[in-house]
Amino acid sequence: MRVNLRLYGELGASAGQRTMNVEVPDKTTLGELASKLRRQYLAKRPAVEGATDDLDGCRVLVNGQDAEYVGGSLKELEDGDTVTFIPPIAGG
Amino acid sequence: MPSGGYSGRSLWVDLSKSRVGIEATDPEMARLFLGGAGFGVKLLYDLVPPGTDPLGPDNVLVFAPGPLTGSGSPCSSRIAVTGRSPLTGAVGMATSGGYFPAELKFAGFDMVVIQGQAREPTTLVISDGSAHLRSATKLWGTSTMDCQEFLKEELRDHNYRVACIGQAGEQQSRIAGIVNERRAMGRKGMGAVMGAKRLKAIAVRGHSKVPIADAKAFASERHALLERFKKSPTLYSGMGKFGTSTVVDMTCELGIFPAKNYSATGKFAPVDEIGSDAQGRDILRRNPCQACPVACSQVRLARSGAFPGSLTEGPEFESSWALSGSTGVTDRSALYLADRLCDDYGLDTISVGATIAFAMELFERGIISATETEGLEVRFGNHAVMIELIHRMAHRIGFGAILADGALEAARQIGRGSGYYAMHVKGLELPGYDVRGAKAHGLNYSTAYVGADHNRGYASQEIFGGKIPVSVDRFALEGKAELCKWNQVMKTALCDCPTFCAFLLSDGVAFLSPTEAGISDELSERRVVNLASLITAVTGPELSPGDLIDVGERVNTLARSYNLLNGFTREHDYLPARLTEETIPDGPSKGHLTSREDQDWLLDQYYKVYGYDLRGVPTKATLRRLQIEQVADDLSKALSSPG
Repeated sequence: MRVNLRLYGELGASAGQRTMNVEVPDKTTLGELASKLRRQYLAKRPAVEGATDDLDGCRVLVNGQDAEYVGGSLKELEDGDTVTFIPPIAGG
Repeated sequence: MPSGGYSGRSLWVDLSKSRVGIEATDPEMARLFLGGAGFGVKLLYDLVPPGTDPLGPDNVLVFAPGPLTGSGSPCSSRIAVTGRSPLTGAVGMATSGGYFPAELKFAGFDMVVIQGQAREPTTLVISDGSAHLRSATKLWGTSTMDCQEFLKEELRDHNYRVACIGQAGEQQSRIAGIVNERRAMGRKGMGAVMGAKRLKAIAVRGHSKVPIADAKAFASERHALLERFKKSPTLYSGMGKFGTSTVVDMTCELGIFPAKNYSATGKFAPVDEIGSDAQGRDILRRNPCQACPVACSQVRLARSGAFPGSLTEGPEFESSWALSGSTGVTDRSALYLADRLCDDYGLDTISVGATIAFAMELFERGIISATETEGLEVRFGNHAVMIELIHRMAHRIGFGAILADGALEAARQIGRGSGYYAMHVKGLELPGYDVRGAKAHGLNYSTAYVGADHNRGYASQEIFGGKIPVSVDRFALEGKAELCKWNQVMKTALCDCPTFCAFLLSDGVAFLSPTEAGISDELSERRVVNLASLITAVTGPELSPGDLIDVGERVNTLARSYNLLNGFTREHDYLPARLTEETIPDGPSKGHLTSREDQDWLLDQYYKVYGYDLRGVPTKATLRRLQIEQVADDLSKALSSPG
């Protein structure tokens, strides 16, 4: 199946593009996708102290909804899903 | 008076009598209200009777930094200006950073209180413990940038720091702000109050040091805080690199970037045009506030587009939204030029963008026509018209005069059902978050004592996914009243009064125990032990975490009481009807709204957690607990007896 990725901050910079459509195995979970992205694009970066996930506290959205409220890292992705990774930010 | 943090001297200026006096800062006020917005709200309550004309001589302007300001504590050069707002009729309070706040402390003053009305344009000059008034006749009519430059030349010292109004403030535009350096105390029309007083500028220069009560403890607390800065995943790598432009990315991805006057949220999300990547390419330099190692504020230059050469400090997220997302404009050079013009004229970028967007929607719907706009095609996306309208608003020319006092006043003049499209609470235009998809943020819009101000209780938990004090589902209602109060109280207690940069709250770096979830009093107090210790180290008398949190609740409750005495009721604590009747039309938050019934429930809960009755009136027990029980008598006389 294919999913759409939207990558912000260092993740997008390392990937060389902010949006992409990628092939992933059926039933790939959000956690597996995050691990793959970290290996692929942030391998050289030391983990952020205190971060409890693979992407240093990135806010992860599945079709615009907080991953935390749609199944978290165990959420099985579906064909055509849009997954967004936004690094920790503040401001306002 | 505490042995540190304060000079113990406050400057009182009566412009009607051309008199400048120095009085002792009230130590009891310092204990209960700390400084900043606390001093402002307290003095507004005491000095300006309900019903006072905000643009008359009896209104007041209180410029107050806090005890941390100028102390060397990181990110503490902030100042609050407070008076009765001519835009809303409620408490008007706006804050700014830069160097002006710290310089006022270096000049030896805890605050400046402006009363009366000058006969002629006047400048207040403050230098090393003294002050005098001088004519500003030659400066009247200048932009804020020119005024600052010329005044420094007049004073023959370019090290003065200046806060001033531009042409919009002189015209008493109710959406005029006060500009210091390239920063703005932008919202609620405080520039109009200054213009009505014919006070063009305040210039400050000082060489004294802010006394520190316990230098050793202060150094330790300061070091610990800076260490937390280093470990933050957002401050240096995010804020320092991209400023607040990343909020465009986040709000667009969440589907809460309010587009085209809230009519097209989710349909129009210009990340590619004005998101952090795009704006990041235009950064020319950083421009930090005094004592700030983060330097989130950046100067940007457009090298192409419709207005190449446009340079501005910012635009911050809100300005980017108001002058682009709200108006449908996607040309960054137009955005930068609009932001710069607002700073030059001394106009609030949020109110300007929101009011122009309001006019654009009326035009698109045929409620107004080109006949009324002097031939201007006031349509979404028309950047040339946006720029032209800013000029006309600043000078009150033609259709610009109708827009110059904000969306609500424009709707009153235009009529024909236009009020439905004026997006405001208490007369203050809504900022850049479509709160139909962020319920605690929306409750803050509707209840904040100044009107719809995102910064009085920013729900970073909903916008950034923050986990302090708890992580939340942004669409849920449950628990949002408690969270809204927590955000509002913490913002006032930790930022608006001591004073301290708000971004350290939304980042979470200001709080201890970040991994423990919960909103209990005990846990809340543990989270702010470090800041209470920092303030204690500066000022001397022990300020417990509970005392510090109480300051926030006290100031917010006193401000609400002032609004109640000025005729505000529960009915003023609701979002605009559009957000209760229309759903978000597209995108990740599609289909959501905040119904009137939802708001009824939220308000009931909100009043309860604050200790107010169902009218939103603080009970006597609450006022007593907050040590402002004398307010109960005032409320009793003005309203039926409070609970």
